[in-house]
Amino acid sequence: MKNTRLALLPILLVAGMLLTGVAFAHWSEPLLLVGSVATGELDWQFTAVSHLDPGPSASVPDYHCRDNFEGPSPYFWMGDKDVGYTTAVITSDPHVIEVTLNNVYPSYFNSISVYFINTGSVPLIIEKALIDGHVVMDYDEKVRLDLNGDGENDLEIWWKANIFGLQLEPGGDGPETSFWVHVLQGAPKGASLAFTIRLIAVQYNFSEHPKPTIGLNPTSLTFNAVVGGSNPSPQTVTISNTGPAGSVLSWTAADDAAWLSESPTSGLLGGGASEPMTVSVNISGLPAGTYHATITVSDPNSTNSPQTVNVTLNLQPATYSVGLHPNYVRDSSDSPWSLPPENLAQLAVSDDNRYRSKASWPSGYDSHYIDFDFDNIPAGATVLSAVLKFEWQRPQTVDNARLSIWNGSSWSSYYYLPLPSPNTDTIVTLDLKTGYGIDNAFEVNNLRVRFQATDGGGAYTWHDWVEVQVVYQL
Amino acid sequence: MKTVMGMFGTLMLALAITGVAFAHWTDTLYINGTVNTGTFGAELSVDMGCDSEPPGKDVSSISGTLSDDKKTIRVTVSNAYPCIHYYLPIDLQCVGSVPLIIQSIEYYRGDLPENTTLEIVQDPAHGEEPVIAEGTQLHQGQTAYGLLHLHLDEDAGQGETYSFTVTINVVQWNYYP
Repeated sequence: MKNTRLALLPILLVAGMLLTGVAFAHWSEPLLLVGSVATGELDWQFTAVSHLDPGPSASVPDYHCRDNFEGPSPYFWMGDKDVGYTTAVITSDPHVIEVTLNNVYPSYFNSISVYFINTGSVPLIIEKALIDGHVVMDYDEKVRLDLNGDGENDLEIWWKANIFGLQLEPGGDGPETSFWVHVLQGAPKGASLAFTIRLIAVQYNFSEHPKPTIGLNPTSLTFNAVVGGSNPSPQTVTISNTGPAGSVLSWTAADDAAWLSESPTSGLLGGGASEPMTVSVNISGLPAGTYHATITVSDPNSTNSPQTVNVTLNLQPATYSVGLHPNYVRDSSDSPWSLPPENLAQLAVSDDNRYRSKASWPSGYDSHYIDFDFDNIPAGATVLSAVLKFEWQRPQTVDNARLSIWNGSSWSSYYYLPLPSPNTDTIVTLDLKTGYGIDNAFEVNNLRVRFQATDGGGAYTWHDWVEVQVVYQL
Repeated sequence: MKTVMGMFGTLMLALAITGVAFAHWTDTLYINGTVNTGTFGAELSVDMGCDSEPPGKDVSSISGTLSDDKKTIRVTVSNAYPCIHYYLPIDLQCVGSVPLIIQSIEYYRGDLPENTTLEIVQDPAHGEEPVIAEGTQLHQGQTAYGLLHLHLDEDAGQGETYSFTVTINVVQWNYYP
């Protein structure tokens, strides 16, 4: 019995500790941050290579140039011999291009272009080129190669590409990168001349090249045009790399308006260099108004990317000035009677070829009148001015005359014409907009001018020129 | 005999009466107790990460995903490369009724390269608030803030995946030394 009790004691003790332990665990806890870091890759490779003098299957005459690529222009030219040729291939290592000059001779020339792409996941900068181990870091740099180690240079190479300091985003293609090759007098006979080209790229934030800076001039443009008119003349923005020598600005331009365009939309500029970008506007289909847009010029590698050019387009409504002639005239001085075309023509010009009222005027105003209707202007036009020119002539006996204006919905009060000297043309001018409220297309298009006269002797009136001069905008 | 029985009866009656009278001069008092314990707990949360890539560059990132029980944040840094600082805002809230103290923060660097920086620093966006750091005490509902900071140096390999764990141990306030 005693032994049984002793055996139970450790069990009870463990149980007690377990219980205590559980209780303790409830009063503390760990919180976890579990992380994984996947690093990117910096990589690039050549994608293509081309040159002027391919092998026999597509052979062309050999090119030549002067020593040290001296001028004047042309710096190289095609000769009449076709004995040498060049092979240039991307090797099994896509970071290397091997160039072999076959059966060539001093003065032989070739221009070789290579193309490459950022195949990594991190932006890179082309830092330098290695030509058979010789470091090239600047545009226009020349190197000479002693390929066989005999102490005499065999080739000279002129780097013609402004790519050092150029930044390529992942997946981005580099520009065409060219260099010239010239065979020197020291080249060995009976030997193929081979060398390699390799580019050195670094992660963008490790580059030793100075960074470019975008310069734009001007930074705002204003275009003025008229609806229905021609496009305004293109304007130019000068894009500069205001960064130090050795920097390369690889700029691209984009805008946010369909009516705006730029040319070119990308370029490469060395430090201190600049080039024009033409900005054009297409107003077709645009209604009158003021438009704003922004051209954004960027290079992610520059110190101040992006930069912008603010563009304003002032598109004015088209303004038209027309003379509206009577197109329908009813002379009721005798009986309702519409004037035939030949009479309407008499009213269209101030030329002393006058229309005579159909019948003599009565001694007092009655229902007799001559109504003049006019041509139309486009519906919706904005009327800037409307002026009536009314040229007429009276005999001595016509002792009173008046005009009234119909605006499409009501007649105006009478305007009594000053009596001109008998048998003399006089032109009456009435400002229909300010004096009679004719200020929109509907009122112009429904305009009617009514003439009435009185005559103690039963005479006629003569009418030479009737016109409504309208200035309107669309 | 009747007299004896009568005396006994009288005696018992007297004793009974005496006994009742005696009971009136004593009492029993009771204390009935109930203990309601508090609760202890902490929860994490995570905000959107950021990095020091310059304008125009956005090829890498840091992000965090919180577990359902809010006890674990899975941190993912994608396409990372040297010289970029990655920051992930995290905060730790006391969700129990008993104050807690951050007892320790343990960094298990796993296979991170030697020169990699891994730390929790003060979040400038919460400069006046408690910081996720050893010894910080939080009361119920109170939150401590921090930034998980990671920075790779040039000893980081390309195309690699590294793992790490940060453990934040929280304890009841009076268990902290």
